[in-house]
Amino acid sequence: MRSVPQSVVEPASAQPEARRASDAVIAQPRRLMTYRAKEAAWAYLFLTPFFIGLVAFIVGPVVAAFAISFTSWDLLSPPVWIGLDNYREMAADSLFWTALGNTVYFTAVSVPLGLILALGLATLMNNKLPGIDLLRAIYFFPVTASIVAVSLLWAWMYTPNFGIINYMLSQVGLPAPSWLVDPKTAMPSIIIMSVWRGLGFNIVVFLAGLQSIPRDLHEAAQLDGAGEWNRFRKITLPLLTPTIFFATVMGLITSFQVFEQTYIMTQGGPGNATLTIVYDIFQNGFTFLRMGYASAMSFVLFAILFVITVIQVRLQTRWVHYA
Amino acid sequence: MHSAQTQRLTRHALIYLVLIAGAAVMIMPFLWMISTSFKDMGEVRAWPPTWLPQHLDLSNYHDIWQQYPMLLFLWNGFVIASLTTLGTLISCSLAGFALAQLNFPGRSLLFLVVLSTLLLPYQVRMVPIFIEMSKLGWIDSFKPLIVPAFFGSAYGIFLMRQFFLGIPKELKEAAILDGATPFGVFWNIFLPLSKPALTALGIVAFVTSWNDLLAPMIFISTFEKMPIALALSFFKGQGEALWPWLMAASVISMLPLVVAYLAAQRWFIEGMTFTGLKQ
Amino acid sequence: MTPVATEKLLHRPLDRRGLIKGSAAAAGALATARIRPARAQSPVTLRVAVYQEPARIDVQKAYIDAFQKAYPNIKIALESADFSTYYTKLNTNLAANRAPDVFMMSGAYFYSGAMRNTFKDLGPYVKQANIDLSKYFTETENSMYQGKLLAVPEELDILALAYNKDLFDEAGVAYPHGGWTWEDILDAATKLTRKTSDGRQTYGIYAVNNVQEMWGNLVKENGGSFLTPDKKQSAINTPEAIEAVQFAVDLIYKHKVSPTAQGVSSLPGYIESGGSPFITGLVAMKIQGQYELGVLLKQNKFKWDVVTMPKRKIQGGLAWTQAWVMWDKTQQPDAAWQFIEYMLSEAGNKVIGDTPNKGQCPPMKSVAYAPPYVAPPPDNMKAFLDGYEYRQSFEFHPAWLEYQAAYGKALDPVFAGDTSVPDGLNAAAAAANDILKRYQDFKP
Repeated sequence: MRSVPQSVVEPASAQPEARRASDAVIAQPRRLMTYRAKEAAWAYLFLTPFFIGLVAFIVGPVVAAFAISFTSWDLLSPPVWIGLDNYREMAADSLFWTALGNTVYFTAVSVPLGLILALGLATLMNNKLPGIDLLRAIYFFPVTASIVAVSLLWAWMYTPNFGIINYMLSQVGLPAPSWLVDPKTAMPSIIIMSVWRGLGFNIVVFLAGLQSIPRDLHEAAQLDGAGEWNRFRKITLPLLTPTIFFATVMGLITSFQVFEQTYIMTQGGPGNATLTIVYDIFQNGFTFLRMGYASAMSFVLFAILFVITVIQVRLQTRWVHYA
Repeated sequence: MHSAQTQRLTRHALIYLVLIAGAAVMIMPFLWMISTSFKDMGEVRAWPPTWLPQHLDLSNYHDIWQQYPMLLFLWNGFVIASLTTLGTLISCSLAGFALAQLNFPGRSLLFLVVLSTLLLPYQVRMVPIFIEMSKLGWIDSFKPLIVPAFFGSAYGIFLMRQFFLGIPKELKEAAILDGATPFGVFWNIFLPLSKPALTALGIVAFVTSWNDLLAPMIFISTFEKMPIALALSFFKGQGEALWPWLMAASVISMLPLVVAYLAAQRWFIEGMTFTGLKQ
Repeated sequence: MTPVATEKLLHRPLDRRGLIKGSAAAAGALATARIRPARAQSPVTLRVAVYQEPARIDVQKAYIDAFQKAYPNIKIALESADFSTYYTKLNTNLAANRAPDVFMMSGAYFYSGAMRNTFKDLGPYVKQANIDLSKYFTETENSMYQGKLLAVPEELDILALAYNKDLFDEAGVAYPHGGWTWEDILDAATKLTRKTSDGRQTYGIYAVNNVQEMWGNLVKENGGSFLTPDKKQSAINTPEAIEAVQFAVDLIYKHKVSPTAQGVSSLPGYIESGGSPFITGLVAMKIQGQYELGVLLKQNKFKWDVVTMPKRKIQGGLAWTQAWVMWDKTQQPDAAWQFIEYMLSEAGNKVIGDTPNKGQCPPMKSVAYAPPYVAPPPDNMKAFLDGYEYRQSFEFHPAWLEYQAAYGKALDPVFAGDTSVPDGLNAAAAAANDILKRYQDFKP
């Protein structure tokens, strides 16, 4: 982690600003020093709660989980050190690879789909039109419902011959898939339900981003005769990139950890068609009492996500626009 | 002028068309849920399905209200979620501001550390956290669910950082040159500007806490301390009589959030104009 | 049956809640009279954890209330959750060294806990209280570990064949009886699989990839087993097991008298019935556990009854127990034992036996075999208990959940018709042997 160069995570556009700040005070070198030290001191003060939380609630459990990954631990008796055995076993565990593949499948489809839909809808909703409040609220509904209820509700609607979904499809003469019971359509069914459920969160976040874009920029461009699409592409999209970056990073992290939907709707089945990594971890840790193995799997997941996140953070300098 | 107006009307009509079509898909499962919550078992099983219950039967609501302390469950959920939200807003706006606007050694590294805290699934941190909370004597209380929020969540810090990065640095620099402290800048300038982001974060934090299942499940044991989301899982077992109950209980659990969202939205929209900001 | 109980039984459908309260109070009074807690203790709080399906929550309420009346000095802090949540929580609590004083234990987890000294030896207590365990449904594989008594029965779980009388009548087929073989079942199922005059598609039976309520029973009745006798290897690919599973799969694809897994979830009312094909009223026969009675007795769409399990080479059917254990490190062993002792007492058993929800079979034989528990409904309720004589072991093992999960996964494609039975069972055995490698030292 130390080898990550400073510039990797520093937004490029932030640098000129920093330089300008120093320009302003360059005439008084002593004040510069004091000011810099002061600002850093303030920053650490602002971050104090996070540091305390980090040490109290995160570092401890993470270090513990890391240590556990080198042991055989059944939760009931003291852990036994077994070195790298868990990691070796994992490499040969076909179930783990299946779970990884399924998780990648879920993420690769649900994240882009969810983001594009949320971005498009949020843009449309960012208009002052009568009744738009209610429409916004409706898109937010799925987020407000308990995941247990929503998962059971969808399982019910997905029922092949007599579910409401296939009933409606049949009314308009479309073919009726078997949804959750067919290994081929089980994962797509989970994806549809997950996108439906998660959309509201991303819409709220995108709306917040859209609403912080200064109005006058749009007005000025409009006066210059820029069309709607051009304004979206040249003004809205660039100014929204920090939010899009946020939603992408978070989307990948949370989708890689998908759990509840498969836990409630399919228990990883049929066969292993919807077995995801975190479900596999949960099952090993709490059902099979193999917490050491479950921890080892988590750190492989951690490593994968870390690489993905660092790449995203590194690539943001190319496309994310900061003020 | 006339054609411009026609164009605007067409545009609005198109927006409505898309949004309403989408909203129909979004709301369909809920209409189904609400409709089921008023049905008796016989009608639940009817084929072809009926969208409107044949008679408005409130007995499912009445029954669960009688058999379970629903009000208490809602109150527990409310206490946990609102305190969690408060903690998240305070800690995340402070940390997000520091990461976005202040210069200090180790800033980029720290940002990665913040993100890293999200990368390990809760399911494996759960046991160490539980052991820690049990050493603190916090099991079967709201504390393990609320206190960590006051120390920041990576999601919230990241969101606020992204948002604060979108505000021009000149604002801060000008104020600093005028003699303001970084806290003064944060409090007097940045916080008022961040209403949309704070509202968004508040909504997300509240809803996430309200619907969280795994943490209350392991930390709360006493029936009377259960938040509504955990209580809902009682209805998920087998047994056909429970199906309309689950739907009714879900409607009860959703309603406060929908109302709160509508209220927050107003604030959200009012905060949207950056009129004070002329570039 | 006491006159009071008879009267209450008749009133069952009318006033369920009142009945529970009434019988609990009666039993509580009885308990006070009989057991009479000797010395006035200072009040203690006892943490008791149970898993309860919502359909059986009334039983649990009844016995806790009754215990509270009998022992006002022991305050029960009840922690209840559904089966899977329960073990997640219990295991987390055990890891943090703060487990409940008394908790329910399924055979699925018994050996895991027993091997790790999680449970207190109840032998001395049972001896001192002069309790004769042969009067209870006690299964070694959920009570004894290396010669020690670590758990006592909480309930018996046992299977019978449920059948839909209406469907039999409509098709003009004679009702099954306890002497039926699986071939008789197949004959009847063939006639029961049809389109009814009003256009419903009905099925004779439901063959599903479920060890407990389907193929596990066939394997056992065919002389097969899940593991080798020394518990070190899988036995799921022996000829006996292959033949048995083939019979189950043939019900779906060769004889077409059972819906597929896909087909069953397409039955109208399937999910709303809590995933019970039998309750949809479109499946004429289905193996059911007594634990489902709470739900089955509530349905009133069709007439139904039960008979003992059909036989193959031998008569059989899986049976197992749920048990009570005391946490090894409890600070209140006396109070904990008083609770367990009460649950073993006749009074405690009667509270369970008297509840109209028959989902929980009282562990004391004399109470289970007596009315009201053994009396109708369903008419032939005693079929469940008759089957006890032929019961077969679930072959619990510290890796039971894991090897059974491996069997289940390997059989999914077999029951979906994509893989042959021998191929599927060979894969199942290979996966299970991989798991069992880690348990070669296990001695029950």
